[in-house]
Amino acid sequence: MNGLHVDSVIKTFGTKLILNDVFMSCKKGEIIGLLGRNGSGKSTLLKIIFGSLTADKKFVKVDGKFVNSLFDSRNLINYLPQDNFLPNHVKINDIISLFCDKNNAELVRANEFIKPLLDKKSKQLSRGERRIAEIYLIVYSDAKYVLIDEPFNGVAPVFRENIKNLIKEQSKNKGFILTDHDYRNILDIATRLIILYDGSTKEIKNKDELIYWGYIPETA
Amino acid sequence: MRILKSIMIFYKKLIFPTLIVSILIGLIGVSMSDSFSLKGVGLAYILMSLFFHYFIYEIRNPNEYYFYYNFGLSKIYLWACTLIISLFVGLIMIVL
Repeated sequence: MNGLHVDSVIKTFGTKLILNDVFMSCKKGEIIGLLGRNGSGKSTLLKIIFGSLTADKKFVKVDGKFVNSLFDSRNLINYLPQDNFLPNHVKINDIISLFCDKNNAELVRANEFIKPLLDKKSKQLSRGERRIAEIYLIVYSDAKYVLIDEPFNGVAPVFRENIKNLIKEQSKNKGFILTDHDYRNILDIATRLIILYDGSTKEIKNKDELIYWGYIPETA
Repeated sequence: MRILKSIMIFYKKLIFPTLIVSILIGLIGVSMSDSFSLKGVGLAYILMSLFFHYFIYEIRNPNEYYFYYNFGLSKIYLWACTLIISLFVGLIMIVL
């Protein structure tokens, strides 16, 4: 069974049911756009798949291997959270070799956006620069599946196109699950769209269905 | 190797503040007992490293945990690393 398979995910916070028997899958070459209103559980679902958040019930398998913890998901699933996560006392150049193999590390170091940042520590970068560095690290990482929570958050429009092209290009080698509140960016690159509605996932085919599920207004 | 390097990055952030405060505690001890006790510094190092772990990672930069999660290192594992490394360093000071 190849691919990332997520099934039977149930998560409650107190008495509130956030995720109700969620099913999802992602294969190499796919870019899954995960959409949903604020508080619908997108980030919660990504954290559960990654293993950093416990669920009431979950079933996650990567290429036939059960993933129950963070230790199981290493080298298989990487996750980029909404907020900056790089340690602020280490140079970007040193972090690159931790995430990427030799070839990808060279590609990242040679990139026109990353090159000026190599000798800087995370704390010396602006929020947008940090975000760009994080996206390059996670996209070029060794993991087979990459979960990205709001990749375009705080990134200038000129870099957004670059990031979209980067994800598209790297999807040849791995599978991606992305969320972003600017759904247009997701629509541009996603090969499949899923909306989280009332705790469950629904696969959608076009923009009209986003209106139907109340994600965008009819005037959009 | 990556796991080891990421643990080093994690612990590196704790060394400087922990060592400084532990030495200061040792110096305060001098004024009270007229002798510098490496045992006291070692004990302070073990305790202060746990305090700085809590302060730096749980209070100030909780999002940094995600960096280490990507290498398979859970929060419990990182707490255990802090305790084991600090016990090792602290016990060396106590034994010397």
